[in-house]
Amino acid sequence: MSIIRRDLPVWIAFLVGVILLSDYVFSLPALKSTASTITNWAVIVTAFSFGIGALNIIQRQSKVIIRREKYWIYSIVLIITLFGTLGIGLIGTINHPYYRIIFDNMMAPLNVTMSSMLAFFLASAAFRVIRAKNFESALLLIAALLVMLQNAPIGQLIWPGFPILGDFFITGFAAGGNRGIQIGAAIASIGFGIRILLGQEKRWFGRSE
Amino acid sequence: MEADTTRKLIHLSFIIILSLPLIFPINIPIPLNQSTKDAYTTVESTPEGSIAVINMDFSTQSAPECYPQALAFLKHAIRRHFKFVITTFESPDAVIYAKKALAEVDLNGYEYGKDYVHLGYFPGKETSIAAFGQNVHGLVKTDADGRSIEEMPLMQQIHSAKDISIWLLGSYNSIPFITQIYAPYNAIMISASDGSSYQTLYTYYQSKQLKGLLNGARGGAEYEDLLGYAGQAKAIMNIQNFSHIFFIGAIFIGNLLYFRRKKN
Repeated sequence: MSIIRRDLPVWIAFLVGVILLSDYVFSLPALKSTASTITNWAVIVTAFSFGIGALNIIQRQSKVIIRREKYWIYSIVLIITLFGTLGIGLIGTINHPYYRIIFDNMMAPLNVTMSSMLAFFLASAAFRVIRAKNFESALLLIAALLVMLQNAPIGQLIWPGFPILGDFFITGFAAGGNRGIQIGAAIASIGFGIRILLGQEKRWFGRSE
Repeated sequence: MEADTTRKLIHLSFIIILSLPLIFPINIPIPLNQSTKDAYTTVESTPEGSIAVINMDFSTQSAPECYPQALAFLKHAIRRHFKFVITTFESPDAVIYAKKALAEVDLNGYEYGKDYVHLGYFPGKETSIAAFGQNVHGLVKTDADGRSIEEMPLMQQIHSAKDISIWLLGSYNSIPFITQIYAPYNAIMISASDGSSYQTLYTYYQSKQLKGLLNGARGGAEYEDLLGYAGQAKAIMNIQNFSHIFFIGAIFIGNLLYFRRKKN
C-alpha cells in the first residue's frame, strides 16, 4: 500500500488536530489565522457533502426507476421534487414565491404531520404498554406521571405539589443522569480524538486495520 | 381484531380531546420556572444597544415548539434595542422561519444593515459555529439574500465572538455553542429547547454555562407571559394540558385493566 494512502491521511489528521487543539486550548496568536483557515475549509467541505448527498439520491432512485422496483413511482416524485425545488431555489432564491409555496404548503405540513403521528403512537402506548409490571416499571411510571403533571400547567391546578415533585425528578435524577452520560461521552470523545491523532484509529478514512 | 378496535378508539378519543381546547380555549395561568426567569433577567440586564446573535436552528418538525421561543427572543431583543444578527448553523429550514419572524415582528424603526442583519445558513454545524466565533468575516461574505456584508455598518462592528454581548439561542441543540463559543470566549448565552433536549441542556444551565433556559413550548409560553403577549406557545399549552391529561388517563385505565385481568 502506498505511503499516500497509508500514512498521508494520518499525518494530515495529526497536523490539523494539533493546530486546532493548540489554538483552542492555548489561543496562540501565531496559530489563529491558520486555525481559522482550516476551520473554513471544513465548512466548505461540508457544503460539498450536500451536493454528494443529492448525487447519491439521484443515483439510487434512478436505479429504482430503471429496474421498476417496488414503489418506483415514488422515486419519480422524489426526483421531480428534488430538481423542481433546486431549480426554483437557484433561479429565484428562497425568496421566490413558488419556493415559499413549496415550503409552506408541502414541506412544512408534511414534516409536521410525520412528527405529529408520534403523538398517536404515544397515546396508544400509554394505554397498552406503560404498565406497573414490577418495581422498576412502577418507578418509571410514577416519574413519567409527575413530569407530565409538572410540564402541563393543569398539574398545578390539580395539586400545587405536582410541579415541585416533577421539578425534583427533572433537576435531580434526570439532570444527574444526563450529566453522567455527557461526561462519559466527552471522555470517550477525548479518547477517540487521541487515537485519531496518534494514527491508531483509521476507520474514519475507510480502513478497519 | 380487538387490539385494532382498541387502537382506533384510542386514536379517535385522542383527536376529540385535542379538538376541545381549539373549540373551548382555557387559559390556565402558567407558573414561572426559575430557568425562564433567569433567561429573561439576563436579557434585561444586558445594556440597551448591545450586539446580540439570535440563532434560529430548528427543522420544520420542531418548529411548532421552537419557533415561538425564537420569536420571543427576537421580540425581546428589539424591545431592548439590541443590534442583532440572525444566524442558522444546523437546519436550513430555519432560514425561512427567520424571514417569517422578521416579517412578523414590529421592527420599530430598525434599519437593515445598521441595526440588524440576517446572515442566513452556514453548513458545517459545530465547525461553522467555531469558524464564526474565530473570524466572522472569514466565514461570512454575504447575507441571507446574497448581499455583501462588508459595507454594512453593523457587520463592521462584528469580527469575532468577542464582539457579541449576548447569544440568544433559539434552537433545540445549543451544546455546540457551549463548546465552541462559551468555553473559549466566556460568552453570555441563553437558550430555547424542545421537550426532549431540555433535560440535557438543563445540566448546562445548572453549571451556569447557560444563563437561562426555556423548557420547550412551556418555557416559550412563560417567556411570552413575561413579555406581555399571548402567542403560539400559549396556544400550544392549551393543547398540552389536554393531551397530558389524556395520557395520564390512558395510563391509569390501561393499568387498571391490566391488574383486573391479572387478578382474574
